[in-house]
Amino acid sequence: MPLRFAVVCSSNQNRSMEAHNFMSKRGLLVRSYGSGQQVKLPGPSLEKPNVYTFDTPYEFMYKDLYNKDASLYTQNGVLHMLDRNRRIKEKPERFQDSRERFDVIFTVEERIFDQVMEDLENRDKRTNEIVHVINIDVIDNPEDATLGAFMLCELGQKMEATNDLDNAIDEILTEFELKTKRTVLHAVSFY
Amino acid sequence: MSENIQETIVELINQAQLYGKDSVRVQHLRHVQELILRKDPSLLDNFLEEVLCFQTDKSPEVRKTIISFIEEACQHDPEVIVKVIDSLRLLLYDDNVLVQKRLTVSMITIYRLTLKWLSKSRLVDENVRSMWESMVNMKIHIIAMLDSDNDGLRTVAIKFIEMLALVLSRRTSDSIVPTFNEQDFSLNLLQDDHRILRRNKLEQEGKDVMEKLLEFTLSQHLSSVNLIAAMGAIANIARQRPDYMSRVVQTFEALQVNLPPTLVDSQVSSVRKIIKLKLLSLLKHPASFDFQPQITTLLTDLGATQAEVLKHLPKAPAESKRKITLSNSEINTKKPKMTIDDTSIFDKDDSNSSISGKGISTSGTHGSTMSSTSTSPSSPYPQHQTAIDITAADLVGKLSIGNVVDLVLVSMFLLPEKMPASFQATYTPIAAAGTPAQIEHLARLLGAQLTAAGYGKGYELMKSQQQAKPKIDDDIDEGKPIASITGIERDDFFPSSSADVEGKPMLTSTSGNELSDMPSTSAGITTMSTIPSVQQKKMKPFKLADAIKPIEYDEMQRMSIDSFYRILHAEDVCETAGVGHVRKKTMTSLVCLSERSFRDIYEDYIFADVRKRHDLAFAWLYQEFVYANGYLSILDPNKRKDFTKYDDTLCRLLEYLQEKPDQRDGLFSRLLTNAPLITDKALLVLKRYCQDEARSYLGMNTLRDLIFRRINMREKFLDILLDFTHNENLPVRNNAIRIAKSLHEKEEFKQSIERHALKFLKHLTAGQPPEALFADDKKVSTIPSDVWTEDSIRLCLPLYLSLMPSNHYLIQPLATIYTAVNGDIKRVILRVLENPVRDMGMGSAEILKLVENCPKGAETLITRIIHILTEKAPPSRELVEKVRDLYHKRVSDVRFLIPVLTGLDKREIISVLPKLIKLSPPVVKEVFNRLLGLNASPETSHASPILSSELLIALHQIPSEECELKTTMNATTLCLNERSIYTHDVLAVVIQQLVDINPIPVLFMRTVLQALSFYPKMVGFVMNILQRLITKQTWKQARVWEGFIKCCQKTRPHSFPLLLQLPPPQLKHVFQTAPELREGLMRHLHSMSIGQRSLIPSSILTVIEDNSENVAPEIRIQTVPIPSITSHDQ
Repeated sequence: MPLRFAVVCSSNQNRSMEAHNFMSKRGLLVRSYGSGQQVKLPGPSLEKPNVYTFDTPYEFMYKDLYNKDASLYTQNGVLHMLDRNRRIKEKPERFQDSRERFDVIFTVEERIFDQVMEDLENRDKRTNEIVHVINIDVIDNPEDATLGAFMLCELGQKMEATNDLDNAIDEILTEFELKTKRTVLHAVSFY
Repeated sequence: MSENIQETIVELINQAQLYGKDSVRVQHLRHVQELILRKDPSLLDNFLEEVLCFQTDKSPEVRKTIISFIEEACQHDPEVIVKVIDSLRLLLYDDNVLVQKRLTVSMITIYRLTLKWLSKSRLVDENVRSMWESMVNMKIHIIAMLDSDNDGLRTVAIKFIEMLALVLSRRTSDSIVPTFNEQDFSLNLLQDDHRILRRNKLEQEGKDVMEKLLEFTLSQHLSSVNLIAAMGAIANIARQRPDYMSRVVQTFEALQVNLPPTLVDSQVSSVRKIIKLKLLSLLKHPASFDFQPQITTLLTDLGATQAEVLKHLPKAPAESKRKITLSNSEINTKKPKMTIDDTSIFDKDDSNSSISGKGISTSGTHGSTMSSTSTSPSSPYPQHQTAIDITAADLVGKLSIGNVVDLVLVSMFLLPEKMPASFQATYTPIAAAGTPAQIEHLARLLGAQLTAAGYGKGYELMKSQQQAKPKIDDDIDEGKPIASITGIERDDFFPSSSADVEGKPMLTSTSGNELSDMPSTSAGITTMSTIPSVQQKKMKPFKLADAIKPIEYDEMQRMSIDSFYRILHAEDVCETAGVGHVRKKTMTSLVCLSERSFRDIYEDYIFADVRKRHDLAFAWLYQEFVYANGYLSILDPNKRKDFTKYDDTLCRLLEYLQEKPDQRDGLFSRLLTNAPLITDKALLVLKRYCQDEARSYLGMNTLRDLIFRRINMREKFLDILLDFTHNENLPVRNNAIRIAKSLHEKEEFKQSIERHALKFLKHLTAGQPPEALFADDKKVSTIPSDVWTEDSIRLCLPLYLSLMPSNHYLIQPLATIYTAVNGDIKRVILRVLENPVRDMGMGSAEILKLVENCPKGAETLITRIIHILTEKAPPSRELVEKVRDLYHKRVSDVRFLIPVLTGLDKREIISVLPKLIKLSPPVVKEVFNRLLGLNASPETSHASPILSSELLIALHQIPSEECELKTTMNATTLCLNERSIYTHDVLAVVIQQLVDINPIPVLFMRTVLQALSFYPKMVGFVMNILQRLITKQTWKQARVWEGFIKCCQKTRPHSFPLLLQLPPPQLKHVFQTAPELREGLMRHLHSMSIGQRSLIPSSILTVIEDNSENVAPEIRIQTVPIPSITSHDQ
């Protein structure tokens, strides 16, 4: 059985979607989520972001922003990103509202890691299935998102290749840390 | 609808069995699971068996799917557990770790369900009991997984233990149970008198596993995942079973400063994050109220902000206070909480938790500043206090500035070169250094370290108590306090508990620094008996060698043999299940690798019904061969080829098959022809088999098959076969020759067989019989080995002779050999020649050639050959030609001609007749037989070149100078004796012709006389002949005349008229020779009429009446035969 991966960022737009795109192209079973309250996209200035609810389709956001300022959002790559996203799935998903089960959940920020852990802890425990929650910090811009997606994908493929993930994950993560010089947070929870 | 579902399920199950791809099959099974358990659960009974069959599927994924099916089925209907327990056990011991893991996860649910179901179920039968027993065993196995090598397995074992600790304890009013787990089992639900489940025991067990889990959490070799899982587990337990709150908080305390040294930086931060998360969740719990200072301190150390802590602080105390105030408005508001404890909410069981609350409540309610006094030395240690508490309390007073400085200076020397990861992560600047709170925290930290290291006041106290209190039998002690590091214990029956309850309100009322003597006394009552032991049970690393003891050799032997028997006896089962080949393979491998014991059993087994099981024997043999060849190199890569076992097996099988009374199945032969290799010993067995008179037919056939099929050993088999062709035993020999002959027809064997035959033929020329005749197993031979006897001679010949009809050329060497051997051997050869020569027939060019070139000394052989050839059939023209040639040119032995006599023409026969009749009487007889066709069978009747009459005439005409009269006479007698041929007609012809010959042959009258004696009726004919003799003046030939007289004598009275016709002198001579005739004649005359008498010349009458003998000399002279005349006449 292939491993079930989830990638969680805050708005389910950039980092998680980049990874989603990347990993599914490499044949991994992956879903993506956001953990924030709303979906936030850059606006004309830092103080005025575009805010949507999680059930707004990417398509809608694309059109909305296109109508607002096509050149600005083309220039900063938001339209491009939305265009990609709408090809992957209909709309963003919020992790806390999802009841999918996964084997591995990647988070891209410590804050998100905490949110995910807390959410998992507060869920009803039914199956006792183990889930690994792994955080690797990825900065929220297109370049770092691509880099992060690549790392996550590589990590995911390594995990997929093992027969017994629970037994091998420590080794994989340690190796990964050594190689990338990045700090990895790793915890487990149970469904 | 249900029909449809059922059909769909059947289809899916079938597809799951058939199609190869695991993921597809899993899909099918999932679908089945959904259809059964979600759509139509009534079908569960129907299909449970079928689905469980997949538990042995080779794909781990499928097995995992089955586990999830079982889990869901159990959830649906707990009674299913009884049915699936065996499957569960099987899967728990699965080879695949993932399956084990999956099973353990499911066991968490299933075990809980089992308890719940059992607690409700009234019916407890054997099945249920044994199911529970299995369940308990599995539980033990899973707990032992804590020491597994596999990280994942340890993790799920932790989860399992978490479940155990929860279900094997009581839910209390302050338990915070997630809604989903609301219905879960806890000991509250268990009746006291349950048939299987003993509440006390289970409760104790729950404590034990919790203890184990806490120890595990603190062990030093933990991986981060395990640690996180364990922390999650104990935090969950604390939330759901607040009784454990104090222990859990302490564990977190100890953990924070004693993280496993094996963790790397990032793992330390992960772990610390989780500790923080767990502590925050505990902080929310009302039962942690009393531990807020410790938890808060820990959280601060972990980097939690004040805001975070505050956010998680429970509102419970305030609310409950308000509630209490409301409900107990008339009661003193200063003691609200305990009143409630007393009156309604808390049942008796929870007295401890209230006590545990009580001990620290002083510090808890009144803030951290009070904590130092709560454990003040003046107060004897409350019953829940642990070694750490005691030591910490002891240390607080000692941590003066001077001491601390000393400690720091001393430890400077011990600082490591590099800052440890855990320290780096743990370290936060101490904000409130020197404050009592900080001092107390420091004291606790030190206390934890000291206790862990086995030092300190608390540790020693615990230890002494532990020793002082001997362990009491569990059953009796069930309800009594059990020493443990928890510091918490339940005491349902302890007498002082009521006093505690009484004391509580007062304790609460005298809160804070006004701590009175009251609580200390009440606590004091219990302290001595209940302070738990500090003795930390060291977790022993699991060693397999410790847990098992080696099985005795005999026992092992017996068990292995028993299991082997079981495989043997599973024949029918395996056949019906279609795994017969697996069984066969298993058995042969076992037997092949085993010692003697299995082989004997296996042999007996096969031979018990060899018809049915011979394939096992074959499979075994192949296995042995494979093994012997070293093809199974995994077993022993350096193994040299060793065929002794193979050899042994083959021979034993052959010997058995050989002994079998019924050989019709041909298994012996099949085994030999199918065996991958035939060893020398097997050859010996085969030889013995062939040697057996009754089996030789099959044996030789086997040999033939082997010769045909085993080209590489062909020479060897052929030699064996050929050796048998001169075996003493006739049936054996004949069988061997039969096969040899059939092989001889094939070009590839012709030469070697002939060479062998010739070799043995040549042995005959040696002085004594060859060694080969007496080879190995023929030592019982009855034939003397030093001289040739008929037997030994005969042994050398049969093969050769039997080959001759197929290859006529072989007769030439035979003739050559014949000339070289002695008389005895010659005779034997002549005797055995008949059949082969007859088979060759006289058309054989080789025989003709041999006759033509007859080697010197081989005449007798050739005579014999010709003889045999002509015995039953007339000689062919060619043969006659050759023989005649030989006779005329080289061998003038007339005997040579005898066989071909009938092939010669009349003239030749007559010319050699004198020579022939000179031979010994039997030969002469044979000659006549041939000439007269007497031997010839009716169907081969042939025309003799010479008529019987002609033969007799020829005999009469043999001149006396060529052959003595006597010999000729004998020959004629021989002829005449053949009365079937020489009938009176023939004789009449002969006599008629003879009488015309001039001179009449000497033996003529003899023949006439004989004919007359054989056929008296011929007398008339004879009279005519005599008449003619008279006219021929027969008296001129003395012998014939003599015969004439004799004849007249014999034929009286018919001869009287004849006598009267003789001239008087002759008549007179007759009377002289035979006087009796005169009287007869006289009587004849008298009987005649006058007229007749008058016709007789008077001279005659005178002679008759004159009795003088004066004419005699005259006649005598005249009757002397003149040889010249007779010979001339011819």
